[in-house]
Amino acid sequence: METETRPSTAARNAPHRRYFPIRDEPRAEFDAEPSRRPGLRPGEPEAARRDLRKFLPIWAHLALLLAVMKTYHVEGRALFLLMSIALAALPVHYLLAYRWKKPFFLGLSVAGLFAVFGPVPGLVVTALAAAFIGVTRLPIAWSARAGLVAVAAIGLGAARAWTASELTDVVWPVLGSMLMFRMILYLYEIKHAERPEPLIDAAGYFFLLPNYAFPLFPVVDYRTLGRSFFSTDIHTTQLTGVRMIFNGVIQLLAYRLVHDRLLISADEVNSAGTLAAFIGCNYLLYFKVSGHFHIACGMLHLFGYQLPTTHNNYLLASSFTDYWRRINIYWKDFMIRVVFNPVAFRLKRKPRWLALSAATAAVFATTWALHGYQMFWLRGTWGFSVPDALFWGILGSLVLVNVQLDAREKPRKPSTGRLDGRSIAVRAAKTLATFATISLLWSLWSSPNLTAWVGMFRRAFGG
Amino acid sequence: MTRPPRSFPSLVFTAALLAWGVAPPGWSGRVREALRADHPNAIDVERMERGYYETLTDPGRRLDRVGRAKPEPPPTDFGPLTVPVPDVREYVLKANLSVPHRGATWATNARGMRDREYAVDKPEGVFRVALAGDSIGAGWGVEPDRGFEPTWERMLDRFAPAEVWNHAVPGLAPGQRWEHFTREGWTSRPDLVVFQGTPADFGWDDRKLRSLLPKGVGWDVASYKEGLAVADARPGGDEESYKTALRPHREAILGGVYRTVAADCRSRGVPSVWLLLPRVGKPTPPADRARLVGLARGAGFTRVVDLSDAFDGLDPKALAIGPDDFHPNAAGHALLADRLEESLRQEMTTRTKLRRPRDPGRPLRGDPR
Repeated sequence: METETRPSTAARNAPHRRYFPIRDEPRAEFDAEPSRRPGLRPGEPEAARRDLRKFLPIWAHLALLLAVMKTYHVEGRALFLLMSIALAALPVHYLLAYRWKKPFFLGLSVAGLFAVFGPVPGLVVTALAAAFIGVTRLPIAWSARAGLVAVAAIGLGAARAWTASELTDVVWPVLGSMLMFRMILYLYEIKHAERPEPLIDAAGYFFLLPNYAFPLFPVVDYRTLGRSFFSTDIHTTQLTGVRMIFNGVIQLLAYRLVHDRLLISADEVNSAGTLAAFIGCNYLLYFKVSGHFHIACGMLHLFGYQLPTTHNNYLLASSFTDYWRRINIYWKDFMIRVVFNPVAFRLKRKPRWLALSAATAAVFATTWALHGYQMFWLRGTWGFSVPDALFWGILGSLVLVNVQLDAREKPRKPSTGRLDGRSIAVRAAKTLATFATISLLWSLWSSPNLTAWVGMFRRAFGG
Repeated sequence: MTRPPRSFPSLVFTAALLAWGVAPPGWSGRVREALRADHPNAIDVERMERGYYETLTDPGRRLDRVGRAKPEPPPTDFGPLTVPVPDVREYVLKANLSVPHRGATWATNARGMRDREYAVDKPEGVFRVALAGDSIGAGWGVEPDRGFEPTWERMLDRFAPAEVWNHAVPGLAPGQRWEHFTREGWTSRPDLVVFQGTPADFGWDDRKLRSLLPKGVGWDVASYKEGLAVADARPGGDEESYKTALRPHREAILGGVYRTVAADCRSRGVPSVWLLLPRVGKPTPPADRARLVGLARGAGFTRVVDLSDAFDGLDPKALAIGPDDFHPNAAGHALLADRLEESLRQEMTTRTKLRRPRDPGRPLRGDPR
């Protein structure tokens, strides 16, 4: 497991070129007469060039997707409301002067928060989030600001654990969803930033419109979000977003098929066939998460954020490191940034195998702990269990071994681009084995306890 | 520059998906209904393993209901129709009620039954049936005289003077149903007891018990004693620990309830019928059906009547009280009553000692049609 580039659903050019800051075009061109730069106002970047012939089909496709969501009741009221807001606001955002686009999207996101949860929870969440953002901008040392944030988070955590009311039942998960991981990344960024971050960027990072439909939200990176804003032609970004929403809807419908028609309960496992069906379908329930993430990121694309893809054909992973790279890519990047790289850097004088092992082990231990932390903010319970610990422990060990093997592998000869029958068969076998192993581990993770999981296998094999 | 993705195929697919979604039912098939079914009910969800992400996406569902101007009552919203009781039943139906609820009149008699009034003393020659059941038994969402119970009562009455006392209470798990019947039903001195359930019964008791046991409720209920012993559940645990303890033994818990029902009836010399009804739009998995029927047969009911196929092959839209609701409408209840009458005809003619209808030509008593 090492840092590598992220694939995007749209971009196929060199990854390092995708998040370049907006090109500093010559002032003469920026300030040129509007008639000489059709679709652009003075000072606007090329990526913001407006062209209604390109925009209207995208908008129509979005409207069609909204109709599909309504017809198939995709994810209920909050998503429909936020998608309707996005659909209505998109032309305004598109036509608005470039310098107003970020403030407009921030206002829209806050309005979405109020629309979904009502005025009182909206006000409380906004006030608390604003207070946290305010603390991060205090004119004191970074360590003091981080300490204050940590103390405030512990205080809120105590309140989350010991208070329960109609209001707090809404406020804690929503606030937790906004801050629990993004605040860590934001603090990490401002520690290394050369100058203070603009307030609009900081606020815009925490208030993200689709977040209010999906409390389980991808861990969007602060710097990536900022750099991706109008980093590419807006129509390309919006098309990518519509495609991501489309993919998300398809995955959510697939989830329903699996959940309602194919999945059996663990109690019904009584043969090898039913065991295989249960294990496979149980893993495919992850379609729901990948569907949510696709729609969430797709909605951000509509407003100019050309973000990387959240998942990359994870069912086709051919090894455990490959799997870790393909599933929940934002999480993997988050872990690499805040755990793997710092640990590996500290151990850079040690043997490579040791640094890799320690960093990988640290990533999986942190991932395990943070999944409990996430559960706490969203559900109010930590959810630590033996199957949970075993799942992360075994997966971490498999990735660790895989990382060592990858590190020792000799550099491959340049590919000729053609695959022979043998390499296709090997690849297929590796993919199948990875799928089977991950499905098996997933069933362990889903099981209420180890006894129930073992009991299922006994029933399947007549033990 | 980044190359734009191709939009045409996904646009066409989106349009096709929309067209399929709005097509008439005959054109779309059952897969579309599965795709459109947003909310599997709590029991269906409960039957499945709740993995980390399944559990974690629940807050989104819960939060989704926040901020509605007028929240729609979910099918399990029995609050306005019930009064709480300090025992395992949790609540019973309010007596003497007549209010509009979910598109129908919800009316109860003086005994808190969704039924007409009856004299407690059994009139001479009347064959009295007592029904213990759930929301479908209580005729949830249909007019008081359109449930399968009053319809079946009218059918029986054509053969012999008959009464069917409806002790069904929406939302009660099988053990709670029997507890309710034990407290309220025997006073009517029934000649036959019908214990009604649906495929959702599987796992319902352990779901209820896990929240009741930490409060000290349910330990002394006869129908649960066997299941609790098998699960080795002891006082002093919390909801999570009971969930873990009971879940692997849900079959034993339900079996214990069934055995108690059958044994109680046998000890009083009253024949018992176990009746399995389907839910609209939710085909019963063959494995579930086989296990439930097996449990009922093993429990020793006098008769086992499995009507879980009654709605197979029929359009759920024509049979449900509303979209995304599994409760049958009047047409669905009429179908169930017909099937029930057909299934128990032999039983009833033997027990009522009548071979043919009293007057086949005369209209059924109180038949609104």
